[in-house]
Amino acid sequence: MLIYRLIIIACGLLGINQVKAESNDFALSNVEHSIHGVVDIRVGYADTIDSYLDGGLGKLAANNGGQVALSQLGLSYHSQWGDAWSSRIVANAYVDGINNGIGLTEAMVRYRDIPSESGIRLDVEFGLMYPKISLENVATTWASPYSLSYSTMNSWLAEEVRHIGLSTTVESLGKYRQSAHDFSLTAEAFMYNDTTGAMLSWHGWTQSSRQTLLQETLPITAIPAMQPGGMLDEQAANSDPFKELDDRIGAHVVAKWTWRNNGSVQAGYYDNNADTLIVKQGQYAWLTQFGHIGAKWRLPMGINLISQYMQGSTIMTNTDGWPVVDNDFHSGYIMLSKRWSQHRVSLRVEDFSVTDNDDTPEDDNNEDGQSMTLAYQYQLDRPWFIQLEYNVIDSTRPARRYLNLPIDLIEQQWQLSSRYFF
Amino acid sequence: MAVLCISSVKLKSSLKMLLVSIVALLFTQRVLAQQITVLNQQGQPAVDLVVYLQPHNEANLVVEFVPVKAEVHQKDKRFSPYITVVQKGQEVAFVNQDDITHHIYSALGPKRFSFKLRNEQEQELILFEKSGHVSMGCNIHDWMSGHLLVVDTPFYAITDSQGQVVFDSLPEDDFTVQVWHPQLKLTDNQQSQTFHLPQEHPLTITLEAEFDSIPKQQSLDEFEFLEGY
Repeated sequence: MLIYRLIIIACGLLGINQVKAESNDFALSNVEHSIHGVVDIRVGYADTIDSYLDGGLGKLAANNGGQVALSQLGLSYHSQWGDAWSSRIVANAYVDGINNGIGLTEAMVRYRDIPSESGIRLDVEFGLMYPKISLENVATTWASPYSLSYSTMNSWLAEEVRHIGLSTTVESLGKYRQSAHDFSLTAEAFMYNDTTGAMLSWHGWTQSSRQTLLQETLPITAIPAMQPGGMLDEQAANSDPFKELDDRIGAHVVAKWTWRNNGSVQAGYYDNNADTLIVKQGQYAWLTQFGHIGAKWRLPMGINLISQYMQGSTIMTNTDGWPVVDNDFHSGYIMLSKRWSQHRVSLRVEDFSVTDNDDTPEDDNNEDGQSMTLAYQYQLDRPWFIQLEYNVIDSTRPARRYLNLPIDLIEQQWQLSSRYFF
Repeated sequence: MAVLCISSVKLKSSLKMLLVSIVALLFTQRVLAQQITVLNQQGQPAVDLVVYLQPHNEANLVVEFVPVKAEVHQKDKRFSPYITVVQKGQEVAFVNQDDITHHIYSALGPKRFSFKLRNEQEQELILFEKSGHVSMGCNIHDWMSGHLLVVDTPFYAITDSQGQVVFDSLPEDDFTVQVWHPQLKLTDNQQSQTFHLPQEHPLTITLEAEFDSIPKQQSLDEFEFLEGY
């Protein structure tokens, strides 16, 4: 199995620093543990159709109507050995009456030493992890400090763009060069994500705070092409987003520039390098490639700008290499957020699409949409946040006619949340 | 004779008085305070700069007063104060006032160290045996930035909101007056001038260079529960 190759590479890279780590009291007696987490309870009302979480084509995590949910119980368990080594295991639980679940979302070991004399720092992680893309999901257990529902692009990462891999970041810290500019380059190699692209193709972009659990599989909308005799009739009813099918290693690189006191800009490219000729137990390998750019910038009047854009393609073929699903996609958001004393207001606008390039009948993946999110957060106590949020998504998706639903649809959601971080 | 005798006594008395006065005057000069004001290029008070004085006569480095014990705090994910100055051979206490772990390090300069302060109020004492600039960071919170200047003289201070420092007990000598700030755009981030001190009047020093932008010590994500993603 190639995963062993990844593990060997990881051990080799981490081993380079072993001697140094030993001098930093690498001893079991020095292990420190800590637990952090979040409890997010929401009441909400949604004007929508059946949720994608339940195999529908609704873009929200809620079904039509009112809802009370434990939207996230996240726990993050840290262990630290000496100065440079640590591990992190993140578990999440959801009780929403639509798709309840409890399981792991991340698990990794990390080596992060202090910078060298020349300001170079090495940061290596190995395990179940996200590619380093999201600029929103920076809080405990990958929550967003800004909004309850993540942007469509980061909701997609939460659903099916995660993997078991090795992430290596080399940073150059500007203060060692009498400079206000830091630079970093991250290279990631990964496996166990060969179906990435399936859900994006079959239900399109979504907007929620749901992170797929390690053992979870995702129900696919019952489109006509998946019925007996259709071109997709061998596809399993559920997609397994953490499946390794072709024993090939994918890659992601991202470069980041940070200008002290001003902001940061990043650009990256992702390629899961899947061999689309492979299919096992109804799980097809999807070749998914995209580029992404993002920026986080301090604007005047204490306003923060966070913006990301991704554009790419995903292809699934039959075992002869004939493209059955061949889609291009893009998603981008611009968010403005301002925090003052206990208040924070965030406004996010988004634009997204999927363009279906194949000729497969009864499987139209085209989609075009826009979204707006307005969130108000009040910090009741240091760890306790009350958040009121409104989302509206205006989208066109011809595939909705397969379910006798309107092709043009405006979905709206109001949520009131109590989030307690610890 | 009697008159002469009286005069002689008076003279002796006068001489004695004069001597006492001279000694007193010398003594007064020894404890004369010296105020120094630092102005930036625009003539505004330059705040939070280190001013330290190096006497040309090494004997004047020996003083009776005990230096104030220096503490560098980590509070609200910032180094507080941003700039600290101590004399060579002094210990500095690092105090974590946050309820999260900080990983304080210095990877450069005369003193290199790395330690974690895990709990609130946990302390670490570090002895600084060599003079020089110690740039400190936190390996968990990259935006945290603090500076420690270790000087080889007991005469040091940091300018207040008026750009002023006062040295209370200065021996009379020629001094190299050094003004230092980590963002001062000069060689070794400092400006040097020689003066004979103490002087009767306050001394004003005008900086010959601008400052680089001073770090805000603030994450781009203003949130208390960030997790290093």
